[in-house]
Amino acid sequence: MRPFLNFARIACWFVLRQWRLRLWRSLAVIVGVGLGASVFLSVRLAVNASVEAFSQGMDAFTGTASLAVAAPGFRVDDSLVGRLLRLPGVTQASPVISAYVKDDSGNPVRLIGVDPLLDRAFRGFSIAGSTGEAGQGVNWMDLMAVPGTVLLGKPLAQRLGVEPGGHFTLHHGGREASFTVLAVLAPEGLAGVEAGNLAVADISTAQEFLGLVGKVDRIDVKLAPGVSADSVQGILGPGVHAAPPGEARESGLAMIQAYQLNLTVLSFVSLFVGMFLVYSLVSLDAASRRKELAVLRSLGAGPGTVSALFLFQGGMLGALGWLAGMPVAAVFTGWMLQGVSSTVNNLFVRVAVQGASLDPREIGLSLGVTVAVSLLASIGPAVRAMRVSPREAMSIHRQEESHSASAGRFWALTGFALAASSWPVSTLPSPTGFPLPGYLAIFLLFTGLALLSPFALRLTIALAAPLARLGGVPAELASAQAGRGGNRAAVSVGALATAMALFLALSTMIHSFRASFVTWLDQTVTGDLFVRPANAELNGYRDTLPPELTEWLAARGDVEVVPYLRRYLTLGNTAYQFEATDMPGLLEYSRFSVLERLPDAEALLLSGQGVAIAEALANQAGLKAGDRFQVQVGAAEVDAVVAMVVRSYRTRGGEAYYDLTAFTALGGESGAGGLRVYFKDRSGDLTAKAETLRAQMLAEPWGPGVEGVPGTGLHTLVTGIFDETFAITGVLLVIALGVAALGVCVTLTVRVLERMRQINTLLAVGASRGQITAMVLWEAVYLGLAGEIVGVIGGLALSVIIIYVINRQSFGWTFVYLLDWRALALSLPLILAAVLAAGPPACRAALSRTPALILRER
Amino acid sequence: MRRTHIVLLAALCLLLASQVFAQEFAPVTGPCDFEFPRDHGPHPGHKTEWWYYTGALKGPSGERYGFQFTIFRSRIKPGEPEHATGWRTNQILLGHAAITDVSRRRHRQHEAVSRAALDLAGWSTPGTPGTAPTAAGTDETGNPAGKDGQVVRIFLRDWSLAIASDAHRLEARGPDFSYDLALAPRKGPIAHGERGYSQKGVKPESASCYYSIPRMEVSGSIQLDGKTIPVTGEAWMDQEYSSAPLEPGISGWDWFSLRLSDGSDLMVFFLRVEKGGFGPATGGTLIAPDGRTTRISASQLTLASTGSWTSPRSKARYPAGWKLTAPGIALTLAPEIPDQEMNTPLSTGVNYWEGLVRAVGAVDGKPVTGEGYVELTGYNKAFTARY
Repeated sequence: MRPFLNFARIACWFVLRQWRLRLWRSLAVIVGVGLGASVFLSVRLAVNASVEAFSQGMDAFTGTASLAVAAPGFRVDDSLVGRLLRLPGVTQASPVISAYVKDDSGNPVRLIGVDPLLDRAFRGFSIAGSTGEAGQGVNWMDLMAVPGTVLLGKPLAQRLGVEPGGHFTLHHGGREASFTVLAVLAPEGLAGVEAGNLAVADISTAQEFLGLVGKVDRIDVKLAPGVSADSVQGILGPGVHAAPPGEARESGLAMIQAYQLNLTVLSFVSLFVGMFLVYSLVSLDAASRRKELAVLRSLGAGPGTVSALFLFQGGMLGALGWLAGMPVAAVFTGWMLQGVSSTVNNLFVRVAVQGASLDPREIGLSLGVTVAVSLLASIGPAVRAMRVSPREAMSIHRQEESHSASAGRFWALTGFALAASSWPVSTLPSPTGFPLPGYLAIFLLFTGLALLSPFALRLTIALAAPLARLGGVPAELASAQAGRGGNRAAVSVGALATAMALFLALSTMIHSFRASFVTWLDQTVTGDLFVRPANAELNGYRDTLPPELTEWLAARGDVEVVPYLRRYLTLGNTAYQFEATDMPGLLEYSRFSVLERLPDAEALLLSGQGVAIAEALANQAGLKAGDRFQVQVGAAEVDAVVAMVVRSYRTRGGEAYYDLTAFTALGGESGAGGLRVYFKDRSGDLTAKAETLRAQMLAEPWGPGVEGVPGTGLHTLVTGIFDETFAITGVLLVIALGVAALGVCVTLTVRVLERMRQINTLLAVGASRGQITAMVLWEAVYLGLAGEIVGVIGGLALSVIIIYVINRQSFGWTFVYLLDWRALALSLPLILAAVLAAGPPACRAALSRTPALILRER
Repeated sequence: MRRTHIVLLAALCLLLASQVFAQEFAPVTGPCDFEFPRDHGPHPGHKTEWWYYTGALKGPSGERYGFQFTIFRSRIKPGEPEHATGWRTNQILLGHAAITDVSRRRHRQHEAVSRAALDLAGWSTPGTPGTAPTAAGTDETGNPAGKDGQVVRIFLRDWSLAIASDAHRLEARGPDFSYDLALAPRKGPIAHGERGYSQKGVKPESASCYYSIPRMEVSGSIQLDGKTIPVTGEAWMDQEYSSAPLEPGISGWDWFSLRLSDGSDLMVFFLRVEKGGFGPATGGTLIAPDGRTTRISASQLTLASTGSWTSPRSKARYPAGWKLTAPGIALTLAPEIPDQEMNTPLSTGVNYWEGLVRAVGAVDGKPVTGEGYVELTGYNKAFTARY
């Protein structure tokens, strides 16, 4: 213990004294590290909030069931409940209905229908403010006895402004009904679903209001110990399955966690860039204190002790940076929460996020990663420091670090090898949704770029010789200095290159994605008016449109209608959307972007012998053209060949298109879950015509129960969601750039301070302050150019990995590679602006003292 | 004109009154005058009703068991609900089943609850379409059809009760035990109180309609720990219905049903008052071997506990052992095993003690032994059923 305490005392003196001498530099590094740590932590907390909200909601809804009996995409007969309860081995069974309906303001409300008696064994609920089962004068059994009574979650009750005994109206499927609030739920059990934005009704009330007489969404089952699901499956009909209730939870969580991993890696880049800052400062300290280190060595400090001092310094920078970043993380988290939860809702699953919790594990993780990264950055300088010989204490002259050419070549070759290995590593097999080789490849690429930076700087200076001649003497002096900058200068290049590579790669990815996305929208998601039941998306498209609506549209004579029936199913562990559609209409009015196909694909699709599947489904389920596609969809057993694999960017799983007529012939449902409407006369303002048609449709008796969106409106809405999804990415990029710019600022200032004698000699022999300033700025330009070159090369490589590996493995889709020339063109002025903005502090440092003071002999 | 107004006003009052009375639970205010098999079936207009079977069984090797089978019916609200779905109902059925394994000194219980709707729970009574017997002695479900083919059937999930004039059948199933018992009445039905009108309080409507079949010969089987054990024995059946809650100040009751070796049977209940002692409605019925009944009033009864037992689950402290006297009767009772508590969180929400007891004493000076069941309610908190 005593040696440790002694070391700690010496280390604190050693580090803190130096920081006092270099206060602003140290603070700059701490700020840079803090920014990176705050981004890392806030991203994880924001996504964790969605994960938690989803998990808690699912757990509250799932309760303690052993199995859930359901017909995926459909509903089950409620007569199964009694049959299940009489099965040996089934101890409890409880029916559940869940649907999103609308309040008077059009906001979605989750309505859950249960049998309060049977459900007691699974979920349970209690009334707020009650003692025991019945509240003060409230008999919750009235849920069963009195039609139209509900229990409300507190947030919903507050939003609607109702209290127990009050009334409110809900709307669904063209129906509206008044409900009486029996009581408000206490915050436990079912009240955790949808963060309390729910109404709990008796199963009979839910069936009556939703028009689901005889049907329920699922039946939760508890089995006696040792009883398997097979005993239950035996009495279930075709299309009805008994599965562990956690499956839906796990597949939803997997989607969010893939997104979380992507964002985490993105946010880690800021920390990675901050690593360069730590390296720069620790490296400078190690170099400038050689004599001091030699004295320490001659007094008996071992090499290990010396290196430990610098590792301690690196660790302290990391820890203090993390500490400084925490208030920033609090602000970032609050901002990101809305964006992240909105993205999760739009792309993956419905979540109701109330706030982020300070998970000690995440806080510990961010501290650990930040300190680890800082320690990693300090290893190089620490190793160099431990090689300082005690003899240097006797030397009159200051020793410089020697940079051998062979060592430089070695690191350049190593960097090249690492960067070159990134592509083959990225193509290694990985588990679905977690492209670990892809992320490893990114790490190899960035590390390789960092190691290549010194070589890149020298190369840039050589290539920029004409520029030096253009800039005159300051530019030539700057190029000479930059070339002799050694590792510290190259560190700035590495930081800039990393940030620039990420900027270019993500810009290209988003640009490519958007282009392919818009093409898909224009070619495949066609329709002048899209019609579907109200809340169809939230309710999983399980409701069908009134047949009178389709007849009304057909009777008009001026439109063609392409109906479809959509069901959310799973193929193995892969969630997908089965869409039975009018195939002749779809092929006439839409075009698929085909990735692979059979020669007679269209004929197969039209005859019901073939199915067209989305790329995401193909990649995640391991299907290709020519494979069999065999699924049970309700009462229909679909057995078709994969006729084509097409590009598609639908969220919540890729889709499989099958002919509706063939589906109905197999025993599938005949109703329409949605319609694509096309005007026969393509002249005129189709959007205006669609708006008129929509208004007419909504004025009909079925109007309140349907939604209609003009095609252009849908495209605008969907594109807006797309852009909003990547807003967070943009912010993370800007932060990474900012940290890199900070790095340049620190490096330049350090470089200037190291050469104060030389700079002031120039001033003494007649150089003007303007020329000195120009020299410093030219050095910044060279660093920026080197960063740009390495960054562009790295960015192009990174964009390929992201588009063809990461996206494919995370989400199953690819898109056409389109270089974002605008981003590429913007990158050079951006990087130059960053480095030039970093210049003034260095210039001020260069001109802060008079030459006489600097050049005075000691 | 004035007379017309009076007539109209009276008609309006009658109409309103009929609506009011129609919306109340059916009260018990006088003799019940049972008719069987009709009154074996449910009385849906009343708020609460139960069919209660308790008994002592023996296995082939002489091992002894006690059993309890109870189905409760509870009406949530008066009146009939409007309904579009098969789930809408005002009636709930609840079930309690228990086995006391005397040799292993272990008590097991099950509970079940369901609304009386769809095929989850319900009943059929003689005359209900689709219930005609198809074979002599049994109907199409294998339940007893009785001499006259009239069967009352009550089912709750996979539990069932079938009552014919000369045969009853009970089936209860649970994760760790089940039983299938056939019971043949040997005495009764015996109406308690005044032709079944059994007062439980001071007010006239604080009463129930109550009859018992005190002796039933039992045969059948129980399944315990995966083994099927043929059993025989004797049982006691109660059916009771009421619409009145316990009067204020009554915390619970101690109820005794005993079959004595001289062929007589005794049913007594003690309504415990919160402040101590027993309420004036305390009483019982002595049933002679030939079926003649003698009503017993509160003043003719004494009860003293001789021991106690505290439940590790509910922390209730129950008496465990009694000295009971009634006119010509002096008995000492002891539970076969102390822990025969029923904990029913999923159904009635009540903790109570219902257990097999043995008796020894004298009737009219002649020594007797006996067995029966004791029910103790309201010992961890004042009795208030959930439904």
